[in-house]
Amino acid sequence: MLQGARHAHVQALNSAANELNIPLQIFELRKDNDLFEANPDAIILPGGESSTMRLIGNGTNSQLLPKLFELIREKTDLPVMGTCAGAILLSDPQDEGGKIVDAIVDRNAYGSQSESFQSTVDASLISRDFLGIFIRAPRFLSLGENSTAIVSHGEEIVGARTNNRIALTFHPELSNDNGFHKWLISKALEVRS
Amino acid sequence: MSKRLDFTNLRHGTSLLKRGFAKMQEGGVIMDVVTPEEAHIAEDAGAVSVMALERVPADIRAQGGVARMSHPDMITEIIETTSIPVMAKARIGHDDEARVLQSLGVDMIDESEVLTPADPFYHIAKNDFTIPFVCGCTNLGEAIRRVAEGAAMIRTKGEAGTGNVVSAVQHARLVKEEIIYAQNTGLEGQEKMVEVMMKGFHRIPNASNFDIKINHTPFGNINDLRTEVTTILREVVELGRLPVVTFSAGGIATPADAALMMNHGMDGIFVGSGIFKSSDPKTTAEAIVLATHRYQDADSVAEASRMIGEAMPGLEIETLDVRMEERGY
Repeated sequence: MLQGARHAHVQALNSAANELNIPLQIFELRKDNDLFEANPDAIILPGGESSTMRLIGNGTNSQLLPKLFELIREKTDLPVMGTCAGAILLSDPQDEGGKIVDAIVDRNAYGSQSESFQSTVDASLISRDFLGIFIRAPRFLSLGENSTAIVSHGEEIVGARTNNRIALTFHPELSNDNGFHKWLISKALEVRS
Repeated sequence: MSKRLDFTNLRHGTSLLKRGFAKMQEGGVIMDVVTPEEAHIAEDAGAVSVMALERVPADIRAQGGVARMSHPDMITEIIETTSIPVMAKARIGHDDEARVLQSLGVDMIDESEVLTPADPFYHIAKNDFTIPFVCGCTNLGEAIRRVAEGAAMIRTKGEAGTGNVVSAVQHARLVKEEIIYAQNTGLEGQEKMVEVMMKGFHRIPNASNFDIKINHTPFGNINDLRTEVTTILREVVELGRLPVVTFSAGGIATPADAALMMNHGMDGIFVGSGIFKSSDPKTTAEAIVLATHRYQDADSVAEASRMIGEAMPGLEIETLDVRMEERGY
């Protein structure tokens, strides 16, 4: 977790863990050492400004992003959720290692904040309708062969999955439904056992 | 298979979207810029947003006169050249400057005491807008009134354009202590707090020769407003913090200043004059971003402090002709 909406994710994770009756420890990651110390079973890349995240995450005194990407590529079944800016980082890591979620994404593709919207999306991953909150959201231009659509808004794909990594262009942490966070925790348990 | 789009369900400008936008700024630095070139420097240094304005607060203070909304051309130019969100300032109570800014396509409006207030009684009716607002506060009551009026984000005011962090600390501490007071005072005490807070909406009777009773405000019926203030105060008591993202502003000039405000529990930092009034703006901007991100780690803040050249010259609060923090109701 770098710059961005981490508090809302922490709340959603805690409520999901509570309902699943699972003990959960959450770590805020700011530098490579935080990642090694946390040794996480699942990772969330929150929304925020992707340009800021890249700068601070690649900085010499952080090195969080390169180590994070390395870990995710190494552990191919590690559950990862990227929302909004996080989805941009997963689809476009801007390093030598290739895409982490196989999709081409366009940043801030709907326009300024007055174009931000909320609408019901079809979340096939968790088999239900979901309140999609899109804030200066990115947009998938296309999905690669290694990814599948997991959420759609009308004709448009707004969620993509490669292995256990999901990239969402909206903010599940801002709605009252913790379904995606439950999915992430459940996946982590499945992988660990 | 995808379903048909249900457009009755598609909504813009909701409270979720406005407050959500502010949440995306958490942990970030928002920088004042006066040209597209400065906006580039800010973006490349890791700013989460830029505040487009014609003069930074230090210059407004030095030059005096009425400070108004910036020229639309300069705001548009900055919007066109940056990929990060662009904010702009409207005068307190100037709904029409705010409407202009919304029509220009800014992402958030700062209803700011740095500009000369336009309305001596009321702030802007912010719920009438699609885009979110950030407003300043010096204490809990002011913060809650602004949220009740529709602000999606709060910043403590500090004293802009001084390079002096003392007011920023004062306001952060006051808000925090007043929240603790609210948590310990019980329901009856909270009701008394609400009555004190409501006084900020009753400025017209003080100015009039007649015995005017306030029933309606730009923000709706006064009783509904009291209910709203009460609800927000309850929320504050429960959360132990304001219900919206809260940044620090006004007087932050160095990386250590930024770290200090983050350690006071602020969600992020506004830097106005501190960057582009320093000897090396690019490096100062990068250093303040670093210190804001790694505020808990003294080694990183030390490294950030080492990076900067000369900070902006500072001013003593006591010697100021204009105290911007006193503007607003």
